Amino acid sequence: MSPAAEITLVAARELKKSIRSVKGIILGILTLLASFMAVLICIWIESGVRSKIGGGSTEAFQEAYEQAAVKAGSDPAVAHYMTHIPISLVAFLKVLVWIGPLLVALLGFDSIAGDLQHRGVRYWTVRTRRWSYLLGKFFGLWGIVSIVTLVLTVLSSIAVLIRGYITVGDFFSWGLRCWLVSALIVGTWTAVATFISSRFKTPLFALLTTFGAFFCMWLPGCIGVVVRWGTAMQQSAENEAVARATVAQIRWYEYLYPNIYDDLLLSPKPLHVAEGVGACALYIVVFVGIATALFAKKDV
Amino acid sequence: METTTPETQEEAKPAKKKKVHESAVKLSKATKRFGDKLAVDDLTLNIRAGWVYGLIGPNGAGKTTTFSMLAGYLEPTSGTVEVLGFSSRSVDELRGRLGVLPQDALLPALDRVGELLIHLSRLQDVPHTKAISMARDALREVGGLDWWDMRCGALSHGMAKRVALAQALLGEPDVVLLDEPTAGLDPRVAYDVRQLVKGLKGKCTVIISSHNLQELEEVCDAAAILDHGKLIASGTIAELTSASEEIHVRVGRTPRAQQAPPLPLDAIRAIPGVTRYEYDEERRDLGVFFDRKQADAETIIGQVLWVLLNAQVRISSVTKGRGLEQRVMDLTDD
Repeated sequence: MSPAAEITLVAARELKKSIRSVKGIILGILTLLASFMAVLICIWIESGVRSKIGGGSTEAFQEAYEQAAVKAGSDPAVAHYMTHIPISLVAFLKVLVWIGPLLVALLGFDSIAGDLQHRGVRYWTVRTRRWSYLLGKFFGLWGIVSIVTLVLTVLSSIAVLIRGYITVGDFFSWGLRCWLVSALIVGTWTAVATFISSRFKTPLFALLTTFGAFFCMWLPGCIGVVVRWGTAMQQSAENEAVARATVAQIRWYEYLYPNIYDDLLLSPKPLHVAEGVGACALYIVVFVGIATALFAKKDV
Repeated sequence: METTTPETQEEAKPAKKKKVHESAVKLSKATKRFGDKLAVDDLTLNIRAGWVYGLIGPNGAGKTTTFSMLAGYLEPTSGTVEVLGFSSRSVDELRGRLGVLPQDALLPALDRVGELLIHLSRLQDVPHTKAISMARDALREVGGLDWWDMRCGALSHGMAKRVALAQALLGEPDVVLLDEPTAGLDPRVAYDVRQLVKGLKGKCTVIISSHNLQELEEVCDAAAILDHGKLIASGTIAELTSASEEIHVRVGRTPRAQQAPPLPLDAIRAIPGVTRYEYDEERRDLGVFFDRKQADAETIIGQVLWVLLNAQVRISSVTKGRGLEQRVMDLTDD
């Protein structure tokens, strides 16, 4: 039996389990409610921006937005590109990259730790390669959270479509792209959660450690933003262009926080997109790689 | 170290295809340490294909650790553990050929019995339709076909144990490892499980780790006795219980009104083949030891009983050998 077939079977079971479990159902309902609120906020943000910048139709708004961005110092090509990304979808993406890790932590903390706790994993280790089992768990968790974010993206896109902020074309292009960005970022959080879950026999410890690790990943991102804006505010009095460059410059330690990759992944510059994809892939390869290597040696 | 079967031929190089092995399971100088604690010490065993083999020993003897190394749950610190000529961790080579009943592994509570067994069958590289029939067959074998749609979390301990046994038997594996298969089962179900294990005799190699010595004596062809991580005895059950070298007669109590007749010990010693005797007055146990080359156990039993009955001695019971339980007590007694 090929490892791919093993991974598919384990991942499919994980998906089914998440959908049917009480925990999965409750989380699904809560996520939907939270997302509904988030969509309303995103619409409110877009309507606020539109009324501030002006322009009745979407085209008029985009034109006015582009002019404002160029006036503020943006590269005209980038400004043109960015104004075509529906604000409400981008705002909802920012929400998704927060909901994603939360779902990953709550759905995934016991994916392996739960099996280790009562040794249920022993029914699998005589039938699957250890690394196939772990990858199956990883892809299963990544899959279920990505499905949830896809559903939320579709629902939010429909809401802004009804409001007339996006076209059907935007729905399929930007909506899908925003979801792909969120799915990639969710992959990095999933890799970390899977690694942690495979190291504990007590799910509660896995949960606490997962949240602790996620906080530690968030901290450098948070510090980076504070440092960037602090420096930029000092510079802005002397040279506004330098200040804007400072804000745009990601510090090395901020790469530890996967949520900052969304700007890279949505960038019109292929190099930035590649950088974002590479950072996500590196995160996944490192954490899943270490987890599989350790799990292969683990006494279960 | 003692081995239960001699090396008959040099093992061929492991191949992925099924092979017929004289020895189904082989441990060579297997050692397992947990930090400073030595759980299994330099264990060498050779278990013949088709046998039902027992792993015996008190708590902490290393039975479960040995079992876990055989199942691939644990990696030996040193030495090798082979099942059907492959490392016990070679999942792909042993897929569907090694079935394991772990002692205390809980079944996933949310899964329905049928779908869990189908899923586990699929992982044994079986197509979906065949997996359904395979799962049904295994569940039927343990008498649990009615539980097909039940969630594993809703099963009683005995039912869960039988479902776990069913997953170990999925696809008729060549080697089946059973850790405490009847622990916690009611006598009727335990009897059924014993019958099931007896039915596997000759079809596949079964290794049972258990505290229930009477059960092991009943179902096993051979066994290994472990203590403090070391192998202290191994062999066929007849060899372990010395069934072909000694018999034991329990002398009955004489009614109060009568005087107990003296035991005709000299006459017993004079029976051809008898090498010595031991009489434990407290337990009223007469042990008669004999040379198996001169006489078999049945002949000695007949002659000893003849002598005793002629001397008006009341007899409570007669056993060949000293019983596995007594043997284990003797060997593991600190």
